[in-house]
Amino acid sequence: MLKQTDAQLYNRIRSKDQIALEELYNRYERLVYSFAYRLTQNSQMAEDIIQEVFTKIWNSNALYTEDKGKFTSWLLTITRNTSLDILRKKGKQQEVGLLDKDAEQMKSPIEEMPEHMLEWKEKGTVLRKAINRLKEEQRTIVELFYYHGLSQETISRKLDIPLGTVKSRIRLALQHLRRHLETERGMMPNGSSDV
Amino acid sequence: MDRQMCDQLVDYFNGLLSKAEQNAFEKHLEACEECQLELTEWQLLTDDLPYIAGSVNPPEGMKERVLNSVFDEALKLEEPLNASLPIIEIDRPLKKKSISGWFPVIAAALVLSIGGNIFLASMVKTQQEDLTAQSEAVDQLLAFVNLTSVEGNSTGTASIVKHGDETRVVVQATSLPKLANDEVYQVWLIDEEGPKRAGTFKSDSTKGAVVFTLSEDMDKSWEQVAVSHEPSSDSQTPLGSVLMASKFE
Repeated sequence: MLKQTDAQLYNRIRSKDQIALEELYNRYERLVYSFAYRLTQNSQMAEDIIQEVFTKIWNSNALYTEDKGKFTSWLLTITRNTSLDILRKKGKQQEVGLLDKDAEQMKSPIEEMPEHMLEWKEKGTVLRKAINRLKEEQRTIVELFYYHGLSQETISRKLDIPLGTVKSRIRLALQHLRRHLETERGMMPNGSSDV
Repeated sequence: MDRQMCDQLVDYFNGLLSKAEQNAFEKHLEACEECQLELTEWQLLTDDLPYIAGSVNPPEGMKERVLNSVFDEALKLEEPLNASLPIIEIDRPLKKKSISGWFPVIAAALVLSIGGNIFLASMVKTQQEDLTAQSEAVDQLLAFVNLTSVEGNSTGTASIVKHGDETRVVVQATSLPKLANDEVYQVWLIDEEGPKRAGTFKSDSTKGAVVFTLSEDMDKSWEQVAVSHEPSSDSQTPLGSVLMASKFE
């Protein structure tokens, strides 16, 4: 039997097919858990998050339609939002400086390599290189904004920059990152430059 | 355009606005092309950022805990149960009740087809909860025993439940040995005439469960129940090692 696409599995889940949810779970357990763990640095919280993400999917509290782009991107957005929510509820602040630790990651080989795991590994490698090319200040702002989900006001206070400039600085940092990503990807043996 | 509104894009992106602010921003978003474009741009720019995460091994047993909880939540939310589920006959909507002490939460298990009864993997837990709920409501618990390890350290429980005209055997087990190839776990009901097949199951974890409806000629009083580790689902008498067994009182 041909492997079903994520969207097909998702449609089965919408009609309450438990087997389909289990299949989707198997497909993405590691990615969702690892991302939640990256955001919270806590295995219990990461487990709570994956549980909430799949409960949302099962109960259709989070709706995916193909016009929302790739299923994986949507799933990871839900994971990020859920993680940030849980972190805020627990009043937990993450330590700054994790981006440096990320360089240590991904050294352990991934034995099973479903297609998205390969994509994950490739993107991760390129992303870490691209982030390392950012200026310190830009790296910090990406971390505070994206991985910590802080408000403009908090970022302005933490970095001691005027509130009115936070948004444009984040945007600039993200644009630089994108450019570095493209350069790095161009240097990959099988790099695609479709972005 | 309303600059002040446009400036809320960061906090909107990070889900930091109050419900009212969020509604106001979304209303603004509908009208502000600049914000629409920018929001799309931010989404695209951050699309790859999750992949920074290094691969982390999920904790042992997480899948069972998560899926049990997801389907459990769903049961609470959905009354009556979705009728399209391919589960044992339910002749009226069920209300989920708290599971009584004799039935611990078990992992989803893959159950093989036996005598035309096909039970699907993750349905088992649901079925058992249904069964428990039903038994609390109208059914009669005819017998219940803790299963004692014979070989290895598997443990579990077996119950015989009267549901309407039918009699069902519910077995659940933990610390089961790993299965290879076609191997299965087989439940047997035993009396002076010897063992009779009473449910076959598989599991990809160390936990498993099966619900088996007894045929009319099997609906009688049994002396013992046993679970064995069989080379295939075809064994008509126990060929493999007996993992657990217990006498009915």
